[in-house]
Amino acid sequence: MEFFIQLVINGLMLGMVYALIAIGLSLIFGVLEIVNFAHGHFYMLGATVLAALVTSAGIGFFPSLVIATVAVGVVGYLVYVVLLRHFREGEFDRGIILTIGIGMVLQNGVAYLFGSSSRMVDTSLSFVSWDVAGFFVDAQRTVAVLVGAVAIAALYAVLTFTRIGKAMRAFAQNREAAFIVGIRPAVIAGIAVAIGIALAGLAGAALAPVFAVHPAMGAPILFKVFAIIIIGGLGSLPGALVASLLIGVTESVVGGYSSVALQDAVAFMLMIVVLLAFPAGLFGKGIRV
Amino acid sequence: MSVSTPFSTSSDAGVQPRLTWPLVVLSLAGLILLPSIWPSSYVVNVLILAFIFAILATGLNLIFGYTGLLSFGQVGFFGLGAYLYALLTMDGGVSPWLSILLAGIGSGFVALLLGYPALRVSRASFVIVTLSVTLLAALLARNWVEITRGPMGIPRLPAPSIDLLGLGTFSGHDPHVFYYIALAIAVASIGAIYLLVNSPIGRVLRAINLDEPLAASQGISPKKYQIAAFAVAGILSGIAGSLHVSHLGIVDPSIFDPYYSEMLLIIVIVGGPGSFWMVVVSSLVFMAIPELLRMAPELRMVLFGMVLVLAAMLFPTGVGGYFEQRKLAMWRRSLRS
Amino acid sequence: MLRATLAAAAVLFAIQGATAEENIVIGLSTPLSGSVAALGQHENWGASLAAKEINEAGGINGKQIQVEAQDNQCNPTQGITSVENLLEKNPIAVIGALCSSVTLAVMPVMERAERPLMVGVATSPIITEQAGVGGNQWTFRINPSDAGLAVALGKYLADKGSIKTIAFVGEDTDYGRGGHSAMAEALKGTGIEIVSADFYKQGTPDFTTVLTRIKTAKPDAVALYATGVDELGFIRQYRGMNIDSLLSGRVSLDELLPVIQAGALEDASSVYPYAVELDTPENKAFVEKFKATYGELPNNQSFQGYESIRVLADALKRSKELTPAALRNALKGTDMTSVTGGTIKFDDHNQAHNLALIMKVKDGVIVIETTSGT
Repeated sequence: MEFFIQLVINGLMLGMVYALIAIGLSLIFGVLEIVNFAHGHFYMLGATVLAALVTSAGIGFFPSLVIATVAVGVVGYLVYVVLLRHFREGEFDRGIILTIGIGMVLQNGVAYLFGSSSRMVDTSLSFVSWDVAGFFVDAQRTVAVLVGAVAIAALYAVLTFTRIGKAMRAFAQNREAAFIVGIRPAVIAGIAVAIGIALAGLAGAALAPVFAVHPAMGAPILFKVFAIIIIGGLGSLPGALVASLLIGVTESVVGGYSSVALQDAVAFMLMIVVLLAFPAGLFGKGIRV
Repeated sequence: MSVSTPFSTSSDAGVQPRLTWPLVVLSLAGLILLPSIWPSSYVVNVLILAFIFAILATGLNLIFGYTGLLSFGQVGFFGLGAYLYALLTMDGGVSPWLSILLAGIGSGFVALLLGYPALRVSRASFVIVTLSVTLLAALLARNWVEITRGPMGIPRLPAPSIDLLGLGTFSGHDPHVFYYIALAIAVASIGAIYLLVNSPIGRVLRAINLDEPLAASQGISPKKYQIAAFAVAGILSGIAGSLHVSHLGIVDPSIFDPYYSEMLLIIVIVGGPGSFWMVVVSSLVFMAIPELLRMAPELRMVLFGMVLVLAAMLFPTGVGGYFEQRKLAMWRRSLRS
Repeated sequence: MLRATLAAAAVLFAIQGATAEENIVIGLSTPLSGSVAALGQHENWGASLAAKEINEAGGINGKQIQVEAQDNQCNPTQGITSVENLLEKNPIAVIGALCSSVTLAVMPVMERAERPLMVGVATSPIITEQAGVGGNQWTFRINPSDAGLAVALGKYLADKGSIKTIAFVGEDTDYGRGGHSAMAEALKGTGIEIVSADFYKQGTPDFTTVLTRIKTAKPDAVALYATGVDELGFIRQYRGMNIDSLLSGRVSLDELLPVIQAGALEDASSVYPYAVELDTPENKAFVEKFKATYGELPNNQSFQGYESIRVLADALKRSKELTPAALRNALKGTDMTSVTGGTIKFDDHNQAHNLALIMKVKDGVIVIETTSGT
């Protein structure tokens, strides 16, 4: 039983990490109907920027975290302004092809410029852990989970209480109606893309001291998060959160009682089962909070 | 691609059949004669790879260019066909030729089964489900060691051979013999798809791609046609995969390399989704380009990424679509004058 | 468009075909892009360094060695294309192909071309099975097989006496899977039991689950068969979770110096065909030159690349004429001292039996505990 609870704790912590990435991906899909295939590579970019700031520039972890997140968000906004803005509604395949291209440039460009070997980031919390009622809790991971929770709460507040957040939700639900009430779609979409991509960058930066940082780190996590947003329902933010935690815990428990190989397959198999039972995912569509 | 279809629907059904056919026949004659003019086994080897990718790309063109469904499952079926070939020849004692055929049918059958849940919701989930199928297949190949031998792969695969009465048997292990085997299978399978897309079924597929609700209102069941097209594309991928490993002599999980998915996408996007012959030509070109870029392996993938970005921004209909637009513009001008 | 491409290709091939008739060309097919590019780069560096040294010392009967490297992306398809490309340059032999599956795909091509293939890194036992009396007369391998290394490690762990149970964790490649079979075979009758075996996908970021299982099961040791980024990630998380089980297996200790200096891997042991710490004059000179030239310490791949060229050069010097067939015959008579101090001599499967080194972390430094033949 203790072993089981430990696995659930590990799974919830992993799930929060997935959630940070999945919510950004779902937000972008909700607003633009584009599946961002470069999302995992922005996660990698966040980790790479943080590693450079902490290890090369000697800046502290928390200031670096903020700088990395903002920097990746700015890159995301530029991607919108320069590229995505020119797409019309329904150009779904074009968005995928474009973002695959961006992802290839990011991954291989970083590998070309900085080499493909991995980097490690050490902070004062590295290798610190706590014993909470007999359960093992890693300090650096706890920081990442708390950062994630704060970011998700902040996004919830923005979507619920601010004008721009309300506009985003309206836009995702009904484009024409949003036009009529006088919201400029380009502004909304640009901010949504920037926030979504910044969240991926934040996840990468927060996890840089936990995982090895290298140019190819984006792809495996991206594929898993794709399965998650299908399970949660494309475009649904609560769906993304719940599905992330669900996958995190399931993976941890399956891996704990069987093998690592099966652990890798869990998300994909669960996705196919959910598609057969609930075609629109667990939470359906639309940015709802 | 939805934007491309208005241009490409009028396409190869033969706006200028007078020019297309002599070119196809001429290129084919050139390819038949090439190994005698240029006998380098390196060149022969690159062309064999190009033929195999032409089959694979024509399959993706059918499902994406004509049916409008972006699939990342093609490399999964490619690998499935490859493993089926290996298991049939090594464990089943089936002859190489029959194994290629069965690998195609087997892959097509799996595509048929997967088509239903994958097409159930939206085009977005189709993309992700087909991608996941490829990832799952790779995971299976690596970990189901009892059947697939895991990451060690299955080496020493036989190659099909040609038995010419009176002239003796020519082993497909010789690249120059295999060249003609690959060429023949490529011509047969690409030819079959050409007939399919220009048949009434092909027109239905394009109609569904253009306007699914409209097609449905005409009494057409879009799902059935889409699933059937997905299965046919699966057959092509399976044939390409089995052909490929019969030439390599080994199958291992690297057959599911994401590099293949990326190359395949570039071939179809740059050639022009829905442009039949340009995608075939594009396969030949893009199998030669990495060879020309051998001196800069690290930059190659950055360049390919940029090609995709530029294609998506500037030429969403590819080279084929660009020519099509030029043709239409010329038409309009001649009508006006 | 097709014609233009073919024309461009023709020009390119013509240029490549014309490279230096005077030199002795040795091909190298190794991953220079993709996930294991760093390993291939090291093999290339090692081979280039050895060629430079031999050329500076007068070359082979006055002729210079020229190493031609081609990328194979650790993929059999690219492997065959890269070797066909190399064969256009008329190499006297080819070194390759780092990954086992690529090597197995390339072996028949080299056999057909009737030129020696020198294998230095790939670990699959099937390569040795097929070489020499196994049928393929053109394949030679200088690195010890998985089995040889596992036997050495098994003997070392059994002699320690304190280890009874081992949890195996490896990547799901031929390296990890092959390492597991070799370990299981080598530990038979030693009283040590492998209690669990996990194979993860390359690029897996998170090892929490398997580590939690190990922390609960408390095996005496963890045998790790991982490479590159995965190894670093695993060891970091292993350390973070304060696991008491000793670390062993194929741990590339040389690349974990910061962790070792921090005292985190005390008593960890590992078996490798090469270590920077080896105390032979040849190795000291090699490490020093390598570091001065490339700014990094050599690793197993750089060592095997270096050694491949040395073995080929030694055979070329003894060869009656500079043809692939004469080179093959000369290789069969190889009897030379390795950089490690071991002897390189090919058996009837064209497999050499260099040393297996058991390394151990003691007081924050890596020491070589024992060396044994394989």
